[in-house]
Amino acid sequence: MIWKIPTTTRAHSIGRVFLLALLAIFSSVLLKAARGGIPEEKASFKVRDDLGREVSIPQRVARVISLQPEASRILVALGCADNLVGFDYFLNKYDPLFPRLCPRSQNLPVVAYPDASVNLEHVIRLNPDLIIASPYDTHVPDSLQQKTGIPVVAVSSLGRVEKLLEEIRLIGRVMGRSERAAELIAFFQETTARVSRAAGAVAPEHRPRVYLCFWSSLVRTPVIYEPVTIAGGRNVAQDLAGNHSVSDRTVVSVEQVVRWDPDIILVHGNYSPSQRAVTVDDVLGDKRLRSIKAVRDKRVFYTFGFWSWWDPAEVLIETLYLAKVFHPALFQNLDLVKEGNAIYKKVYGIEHGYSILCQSIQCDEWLKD
Amino acid sequence: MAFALPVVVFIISLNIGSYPISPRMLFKVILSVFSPSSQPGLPAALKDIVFQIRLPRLLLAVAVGATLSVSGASLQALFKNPLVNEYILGISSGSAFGAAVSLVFLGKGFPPQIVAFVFGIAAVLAVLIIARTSGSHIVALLLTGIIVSAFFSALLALVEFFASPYALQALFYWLMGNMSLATWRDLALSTPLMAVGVILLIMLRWRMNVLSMSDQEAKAMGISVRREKILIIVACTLATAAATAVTGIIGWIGLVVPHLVRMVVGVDNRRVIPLSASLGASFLLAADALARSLASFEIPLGIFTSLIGIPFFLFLLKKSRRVWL
Repeated sequence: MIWKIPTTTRAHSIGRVFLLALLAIFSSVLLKAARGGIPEEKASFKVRDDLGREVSIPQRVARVISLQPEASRILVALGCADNLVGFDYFLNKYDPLFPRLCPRSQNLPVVAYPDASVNLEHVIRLNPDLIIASPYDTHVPDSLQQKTGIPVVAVSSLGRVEKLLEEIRLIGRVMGRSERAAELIAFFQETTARVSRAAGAVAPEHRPRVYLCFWSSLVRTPVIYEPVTIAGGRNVAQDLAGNHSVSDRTVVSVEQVVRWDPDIILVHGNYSPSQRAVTVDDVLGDKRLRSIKAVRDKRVFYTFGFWSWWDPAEVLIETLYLAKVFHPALFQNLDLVKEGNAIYKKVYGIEHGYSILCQSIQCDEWLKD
Repeated sequence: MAFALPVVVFIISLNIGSYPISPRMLFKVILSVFSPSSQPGLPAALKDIVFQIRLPRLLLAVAVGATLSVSGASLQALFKNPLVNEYILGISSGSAFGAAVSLVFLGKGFPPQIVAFVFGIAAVLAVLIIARTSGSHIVALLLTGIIVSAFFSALLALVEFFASPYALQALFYWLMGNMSLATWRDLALSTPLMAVGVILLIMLRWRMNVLSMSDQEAKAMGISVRREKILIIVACTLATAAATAVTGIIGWIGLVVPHLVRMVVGVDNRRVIPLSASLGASFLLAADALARSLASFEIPLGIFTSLIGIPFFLFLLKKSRRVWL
C-alpha cells in the first residue's frame, strides 16, 4: 500500500508560523520572569536587613515603594516624598497626620493590604528601584524580590532608638539625602541626650518600674521599648525573651503583672479614644490589679506607643512625655505642646503638628488630673 | 474516682502560677475567706491572685472543658459519626465572625463575648432552617453545618482584610483561644447557659443510646426522634456558644475526650456523657496549667489543645480496634 504523503496547504503554513511565534513570545516571557534577581550592572552596595538577608541596592534610588509605614514617614522627613511612588494601606487610612505630612499621599497607589498581600502587577507597573518592607511579614521580602526582580529590604526600629537612627541613615544614603539624615540623627541624639542627662540624676534603683500594656490588650507588652529607658524608667518586661524572631513583644499573664508590681502602668494610647480596647479607667477599675502599686497610687497613664512601628517625631515627643510622667519634678518646666510642635517643624517642616495630633488622640489630656 | 479527678487537678492547678504561693500560704488565703480575723496581715496581692485571677480562670476551665466535651460526645452520638466535634454546626465560625465584627467595627459598646454568642447561635439557626426541609435530616445537618461554617469563615476573612493591624491582633488573640483574662463577670455571663446545656445533655443521655439506633427503632421505643434531636442540638448550641464567646476557639476537646472515655467505659452514653464532663474539665485544667507555666509567656490554649489532641487522636486511630459509637 502506498501511503499518501500529506501536503501542506497555505493555511497550515500560516497557522504553524503563528504558533511558533506565540511559543517564542511565551518562552521569552517565562525566561525573563524566571531570571529574577537584580541586573548586576545596577548593583551598588550590599546591606543586611533585619531578616538577615543580604540585599544589593542600586547606587541611586529615584523611585521607591514603601510597605513599611515607619520607612514611609522617614522618607517624608528626609524630603523624599516625591520619590515615593507607592505604599501600603495603613498610613492614609489610620494615621491622622500622614496626609498632612505628605499631601500627595492621597493620590499614591496602595499596593499592599492588611493581609500582607502585595499587588505584584501594580508594583512592577510602578517600576520602583527599591522596595522597603516590614520584617514582621517574614515571607514577603524574599517572595517579592524573587517575583519582581526588584531589591527588597526589610527594616524597622523594633522598639530601639539606635535601630531607628540606622534606618534613617540607610534610607538617607540610598536616597542621596545623607546630609539631611545626619541632621535628623543629630537632632534626635541631642534631644534624647538632653532627657537622659536630666533623668540620669536619678539613681537606677529609684527609677520607676514600668509596665506597658500595648496592642489592645492588658497582657501584651513590648520587651524592648527604649523611650522608657531614655526617659529614666525601667521596663519590667525587658528580661523576657521576645516570642517572635523579629519582634520584641510577648504575652504575659495578669498574675505576672501583679507579681512585677510596677510603679507605673502605661496604656497604648495611639488610638482614637473610641477605639481603645484597654483604657486607663479599665486598668484603675480592674479588681485583679488593685494590689499593684501603680493602681493604688493612680499612676496609670496613656502613652503613644507604636503605630505601625514608629513616627520619628512622635517617638521623640513620647520620650519627653515619659520623662514628665516618670520624673514630674525634674521636668516640670517642660512644655510638651511647644516642644512637640517644634519637633514636628524640625522633622517634617509642618506647623502645629503636635497640636493636630492632640485633636485626634487627645494626648494633651493625658497628664491632666 | 472519675469525679474526684477534676477536683484533684483543680487543687493542683490552683497552686500553679507566675506568682509564687506555697501550698501552706494558699491554704491560709482560702481560710481567710471563711475567717478573716484568723489570718491577719495576709498581703492583699495574694488574695487578689487567688480569688480574682486564679479561681475565676480555673472555674471557667472546668465549665468550658466540661461543656465542650459533653457537646462533642452528644453530637457524636446524635450524628453517629466519630469525627464530629462540638463545632460541626458552624458555632466556631459564627462566633469568630461575631468577635471580628465586634473588635473591628463595633468597639467597646458591643463586647466581643456578646456578639460572638449571638452569631454562634445565628450560625446554628441557619443550619437548622436550611436543613429542615431535607428528607435525610442528619446528613443534611452535617453538610449544611460545613457550608455555613465555610460561609462565616469567608466573611471572617473579609473582615480581617479591612481590619486595622491592631484590631487584627486582638482578633487573632481571641481566635487562638485563651482564658488569661478570665474574670468573675465572664463566669457570671457564660456559666448559667453552660450549666443549663450540660445538665440537659446529661439528662438526655439515655435517649442518645436510643437515637443511636435507626429512626424507626427509636420511634418504636416511644421517642419523638425529631424533637429529641432538636433538643440535643439546642442544648449543645447554647452551651458551646456560651463557652466559645468567653474563651475563643479551643479545639480538639470535644473530639478527643469522648473517645478517651469510650476507650475506658465503652459506648454507653449513660456513662460516656457524664464522664466526658469530668474528663473534659480535667483536661482543660491541665492544659491551662501547662500553658501558663511552661514558658515566661502564655501559650494560647487553642494551640496547646491541638498539640496535645492531634497526636493523641492519631494514636487512637492507629491503636484502637473498638467500635466507635
